[in-house]
Amino acid sequence: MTGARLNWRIVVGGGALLVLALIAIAAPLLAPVDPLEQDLFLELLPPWWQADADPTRALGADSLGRDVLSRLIHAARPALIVAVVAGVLTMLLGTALGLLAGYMGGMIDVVISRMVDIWTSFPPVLLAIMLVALIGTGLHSVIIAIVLIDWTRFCRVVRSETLAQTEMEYIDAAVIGGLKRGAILFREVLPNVLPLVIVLLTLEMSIAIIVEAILSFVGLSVSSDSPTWGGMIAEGRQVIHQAWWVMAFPMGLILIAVLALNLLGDGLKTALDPVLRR
Amino acid sequence: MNPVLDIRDLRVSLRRGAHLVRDVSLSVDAGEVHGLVGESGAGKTMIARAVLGILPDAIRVTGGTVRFRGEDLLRLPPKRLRSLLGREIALIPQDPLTGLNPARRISAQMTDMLRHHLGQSRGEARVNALRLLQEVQIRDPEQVLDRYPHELSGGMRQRVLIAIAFSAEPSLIVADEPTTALDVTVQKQILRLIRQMQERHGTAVLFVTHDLGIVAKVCHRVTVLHTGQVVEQGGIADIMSAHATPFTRALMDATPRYDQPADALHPVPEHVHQELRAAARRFDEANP
Amino acid sequence: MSPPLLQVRDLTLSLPDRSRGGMFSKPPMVDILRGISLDLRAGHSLGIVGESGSGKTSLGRAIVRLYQPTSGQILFDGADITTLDEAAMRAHRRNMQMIFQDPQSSLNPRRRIGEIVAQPVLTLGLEQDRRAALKRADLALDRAGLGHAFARRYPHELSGGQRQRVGIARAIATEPRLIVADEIVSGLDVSTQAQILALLNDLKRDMGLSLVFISHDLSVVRVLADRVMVMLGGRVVEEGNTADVFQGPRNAYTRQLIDAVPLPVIDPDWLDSQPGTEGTRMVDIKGQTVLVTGTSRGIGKVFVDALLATGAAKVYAASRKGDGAHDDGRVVPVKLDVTSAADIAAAAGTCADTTVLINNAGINFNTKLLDTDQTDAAAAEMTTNYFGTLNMCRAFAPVIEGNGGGAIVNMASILARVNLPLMGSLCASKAAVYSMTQGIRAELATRGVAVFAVLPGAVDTDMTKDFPPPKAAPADIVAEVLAGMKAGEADIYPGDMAKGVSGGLAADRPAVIAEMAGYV
Repeated sequence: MTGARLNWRIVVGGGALLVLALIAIAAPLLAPVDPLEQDLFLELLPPWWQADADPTRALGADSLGRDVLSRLIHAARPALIVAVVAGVLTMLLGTALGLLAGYMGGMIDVVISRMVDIWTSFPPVLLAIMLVALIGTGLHSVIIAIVLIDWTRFCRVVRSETLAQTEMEYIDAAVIGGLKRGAILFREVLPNVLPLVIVLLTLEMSIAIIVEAILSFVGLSVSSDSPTWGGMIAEGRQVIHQAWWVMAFPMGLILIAVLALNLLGDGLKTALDPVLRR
Repeated sequence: MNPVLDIRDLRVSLRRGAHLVRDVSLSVDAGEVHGLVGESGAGKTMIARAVLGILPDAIRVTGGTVRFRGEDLLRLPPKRLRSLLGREIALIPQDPLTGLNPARRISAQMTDMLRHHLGQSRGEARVNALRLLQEVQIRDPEQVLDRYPHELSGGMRQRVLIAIAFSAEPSLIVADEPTTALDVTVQKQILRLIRQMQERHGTAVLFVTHDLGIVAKVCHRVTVLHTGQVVEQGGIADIMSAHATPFTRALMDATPRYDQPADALHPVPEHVHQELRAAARRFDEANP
Repeated sequence: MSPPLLQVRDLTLSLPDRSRGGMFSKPPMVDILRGISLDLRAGHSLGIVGESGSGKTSLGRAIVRLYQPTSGQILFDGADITTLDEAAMRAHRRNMQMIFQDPQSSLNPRRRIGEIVAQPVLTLGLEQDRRAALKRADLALDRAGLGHAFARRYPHELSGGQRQRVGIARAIATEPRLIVADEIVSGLDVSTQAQILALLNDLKRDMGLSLVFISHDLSVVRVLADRVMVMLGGRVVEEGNTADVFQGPRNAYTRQLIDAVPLPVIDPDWLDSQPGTEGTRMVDIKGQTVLVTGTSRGIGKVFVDALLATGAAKVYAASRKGDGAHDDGRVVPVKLDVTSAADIAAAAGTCADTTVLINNAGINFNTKLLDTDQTDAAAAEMTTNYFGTLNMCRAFAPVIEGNGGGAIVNMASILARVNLPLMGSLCASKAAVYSMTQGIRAELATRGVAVFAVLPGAVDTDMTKDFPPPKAAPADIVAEVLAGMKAGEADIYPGDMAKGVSGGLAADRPAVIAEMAGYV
């Protein structure tokens, strides 16, 4: 793999993600108060710039009087865990199957490709809800659901890219050069497929964040007392007319996280391509 | 007699400033095939594209005139230019596959031209399309009309494109390396066809090619290009003679021939390229 | 003489046609190569020319085992490599490398030039460690005229010509004995192309390389190839010394191919000229009325059935006894002794609708030339084989011409080109037939009658039971004659033996004559 050069998309997207990651890691230190602490006197307290604000609740409080800022900070943890773990696992499974199908061809390709076809004919969100309902709620269920549903995304792209690469004459040159089949796959084909996989990974991570939000919105993610962005949106929805901020802040954060990931993916796409990089 | 196409001091440059065509002048008379010869980067395709007004976004004409029967194509209102293209000026493209729309039958693509430019009815257009296909020596024109491009061979597709190019009886045809994608035996048939059609219709042809052999066989006059400059211009007999400029002669010596042994082949000496590159640099310094 | 470095024997290749076949049904197989044989000696170069679909690229790929042949043999330095698995094949790979057509797609865009060139050095075991391999790569890059400074660069930073030099460096890095070069200059400018050709010529000389040089461009092949093979539809239609083939092609397709190359010479007639109008033309048996002599046995008998199967409209089956009765209604038996002037005159009258004449009748006594008691045998061979054939040509040339043209096929023998000690008189009569056929071809050149000479090796019939093997089956000989007529080959050499002898005579005449002297 050759060194990629930085561009503004990587800096901005990657920077934003780094900040989010640091926040998630240091959540207990950063959160001003316990995210679970209820204070009914502070019910639906507005954020700091509005009248009647409380300086200790900078972004206001929700219907149970819990601190929105602290909850936002703690909710970054499940979001990022799901994004990273589900993203990477999906990538590994989908890429492996895609490489196998594209490079081996024959029956293996037929079986994997048909599986992908059948898989993608189910509506993904419904499939996720069904899966979680089946294996129970919790973070690990959300991750399993995402991996089991979204591996096809990697598989399809990697398979077709692998097929395109195997048509290239440098593969023939490698055979003439005495490289074994496995070595050709890992040393010749994979480096040419990898940039695409990495870009796809950023996309998958943003999708994972959204799926986690959806599942927690419908209460199928982590247990309802620990904060999640989706859960916060669900709670905020009921008080939307009195306290818009309860819903708006988690939505904003999801937006920022997804945008940052897409920006990073875009930046990596040009940075990892030796021809575009010039 | 006024030339059909008269290019004067044409300059084409990248938007960032570098010149690609450096004050090239040439003219094509009615009934004449004018060869535009050079290696890649010589500017031959840029000149052809400038004539057709289809330069890429990053490239523009920065000087000179391109007069077609007296009108400067570079300064025509877009509407007037569009009405000329296809009807008065036609193109025979390099790649016979991308030159045709893969999703439409040959009949649709041929009658479009006839109906749009010549205002023929559907019935008239079909009759004329059949006649044109016969003229380019396609054996079963009825069947070919109902085919899609991918169902035809490369040579057949190029015949269809030649028929389309000649359909509106244009005064000028730009042929952009029309045979590079074809097998050599098919190439000969297509070259023969282009010459026959051109002679029959008295069409002026600007023939872009990198192949001196093709030039010798189909062109009346030739412009030899290097780094966007005219190296040599003249009748085919002069270009092919010993009096040609060093670059043209070097190019001839570097062209392998099946009727000559290997030791007759001499690569173009580096100093010949260098001198021409130096001339291009001097031009750029004088015309920043 | 040492055996050729590369030998290909009757190679066939079928590949699935991916454009057809449904989702569940297997795609049908198409024949890409149909029985290719070739020899390439060490230090020599063989050009393979042909148009798209001729199979030339597939042949190159089959030689280096990128494709698995369907049948036939590939011998490299005497060792059969046809069915070696990839691991066993690896032992040969350092000796046979390939340069590819498209330098853009044949260089992995993500690897540095140095690594690309060093790869085969390392994997084929010339060097064990990376640094030494890279050093060899530098050397190869220098040799390819690129300079080792390029080792740190990436392919996209290079021009087309420079990339092709990388391809050459990679191929020579393992110091191979054979290189297969597939259309390696087709995308390059003339001035770059000339440099690459010159480089390859130098490397070939300096390294003693053998080269299989594949190209659609005859002119480029002339620069690099000592011998050339012309392919059409997966078959070899002509093979020989490059200068000879390009100056005097025997095959009509070769002629057409050569004629179509636009030389940089002013020639106002070139565009309208049609090759193949003079000399031999392509002749299809379908719909023809054919007269075959000597049909009572041997090849003649097989000819009748093959002609019927190929779609002949009518077959006059001539024999001395006129006993050629046949189930098929298209066969008309004719009583004809080719040594009888009266018989010939009568046949020219009764068979006046003949368009193709196959002079097959012949006899052999297998006698030595200096045996004085065998004078009658020598005379009889001459009377039947030479005068019989000549008189048939004299009688039927005007008939065929009058019927709008057609063909005359004279069955000679490979013995026309090499004399065997025990059957000198037969050989002499066959040589006379061959020479006469060439003369008749010239005389009929502008009269619409194609003239073919057939020079088979030993054929397995009851007449040749004294001959030692190898002997070809009559049906194969006949099939090749009909195919040769269809392709417009003036001289048809059916069977491996005939082709081998003919090729050998062109390459090394004394060696063949010495070998043939011990044949009987």
